Amino acid sequence: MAEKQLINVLLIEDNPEIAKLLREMLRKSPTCHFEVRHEPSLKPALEYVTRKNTDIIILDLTLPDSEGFPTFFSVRSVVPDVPIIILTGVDDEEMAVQAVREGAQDYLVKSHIDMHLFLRAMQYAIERHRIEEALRRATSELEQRVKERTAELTYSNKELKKEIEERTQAQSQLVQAAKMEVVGRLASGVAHEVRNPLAIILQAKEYLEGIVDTKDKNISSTLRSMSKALERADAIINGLLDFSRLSQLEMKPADINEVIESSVLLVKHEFDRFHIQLVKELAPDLPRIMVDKNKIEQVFVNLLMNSIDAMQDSGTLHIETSAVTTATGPAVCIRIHDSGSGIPQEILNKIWDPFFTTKRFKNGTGLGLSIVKSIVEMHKGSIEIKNRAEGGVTVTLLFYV
Amino acid sequence: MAEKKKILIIDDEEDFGKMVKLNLERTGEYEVKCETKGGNAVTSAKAFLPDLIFLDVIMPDVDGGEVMGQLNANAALKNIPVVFLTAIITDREATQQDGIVAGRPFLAKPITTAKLIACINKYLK
Repeated sequence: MAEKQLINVLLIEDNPEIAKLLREMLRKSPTCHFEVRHEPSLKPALEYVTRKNTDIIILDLTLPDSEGFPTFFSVRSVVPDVPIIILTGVDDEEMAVQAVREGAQDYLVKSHIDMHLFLRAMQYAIERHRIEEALRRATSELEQRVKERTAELTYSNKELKKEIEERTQAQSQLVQAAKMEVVGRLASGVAHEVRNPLAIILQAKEYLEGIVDTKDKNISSTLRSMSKALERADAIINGLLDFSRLSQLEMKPADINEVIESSVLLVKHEFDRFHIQLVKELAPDLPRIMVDKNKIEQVFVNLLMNSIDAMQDSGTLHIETSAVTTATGPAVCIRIHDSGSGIPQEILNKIWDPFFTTKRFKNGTGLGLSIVKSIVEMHKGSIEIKNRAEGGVTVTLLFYV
Repeated sequence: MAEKKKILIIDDEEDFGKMVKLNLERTGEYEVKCETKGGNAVTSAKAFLPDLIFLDVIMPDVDGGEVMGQLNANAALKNIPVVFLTAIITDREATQQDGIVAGRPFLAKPITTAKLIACINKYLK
């Protein structure tokens, strides 16, 4: 014979006769063994149910310490997962129906209790509850799977976005490289086509200088104008060529202090000519950084010449180097500050634009700082120019180790 | 009087050669010959036997690099110093490594007569 299923029942009923009757009925169940705990009032029943494992509750709504619908709610709030069968007098049947709507498993009218009906109600309640539980578990599993799948999708989406970003970046690098190639070819073409005639004009001008009367003011000023025009045109072509060759970096490890020293040497005569004092504070033992030495020299020469121009006659130029740690890692920092006129605030955001110059009359091409910025950026470094409160500007360069 | 130094200019820009010839020759120290066709460079050089050659890089028929190869292949010409003269490098690039670009002496156009003479003196000490 199959073993009977053990069911722990809490019977909350103040009428001992009915309680006895129900116990009797339960005892006679052919399929289940009902272990019945009887409580005649709500309070001890609630205490019991919080302590002991209960499979089903049979609840009379009219108890000495609670009456009507609140009785059901009190029990359900303590054990929301335990099935409840309502036991009711005929008069509160309407209330019992409402209780079923609110989650009770069934309701039984005391005056019509019959053993088969009662046992069937118990079994159905237990079974229904089991199915509900299984459904709840399935729902919860489903929710968990949805959550996991959503997380997977979110991750894939993130990866995809990253890949798209990388591809976009690679594509823009390719486009930039292609552009630079076109610019390079264009610049070489322009250089060849323009500088050859310039070379002829320069040689012709020199020839004329040798045979005309250079004491004649008009002749000498004409020749000077020709020289200036030649230099200006040549400077523009040089700028274009420099710009077009930015993609061809020859990176080697270098001590930035040495690059600064060699750059300073290139413009030493300008320091002397304009009576400018140079103060160097170069940190020893700087980490070596990967740079194209010639291009970085070009950066320093350009910046130094700008400072010299800004100081005009007399002034002090400081160059400092230091090893620093930034959010992106260790770097070498170079600060150049001058005691010049500074940069008017209204043009500060234009200084990096190609062909922007305040020195057109001094043969400025407007390419200097835009080339400087491009070179620094190609070294994955940064450059910033700020006016100083005490006058002049500070240029701060960072190159990462 | 010291013998004049012979300079051959191989450049398709005829006027450039002509002007350089005028400027160098009036110093009284140089004899200059111009050749505008890369293809005739070796013939001209063999006939003139210059002390130094200024050689343009970009020329329509035979370019400077090829001319250089032909000169080197000729026993009578291979020891003549050749200085490339081109408009496609900047003066800074030409002077950065003491005038040597890719192992060859280079000058950038436009160029002053003074720089040409300094270069001649450098290679014809």
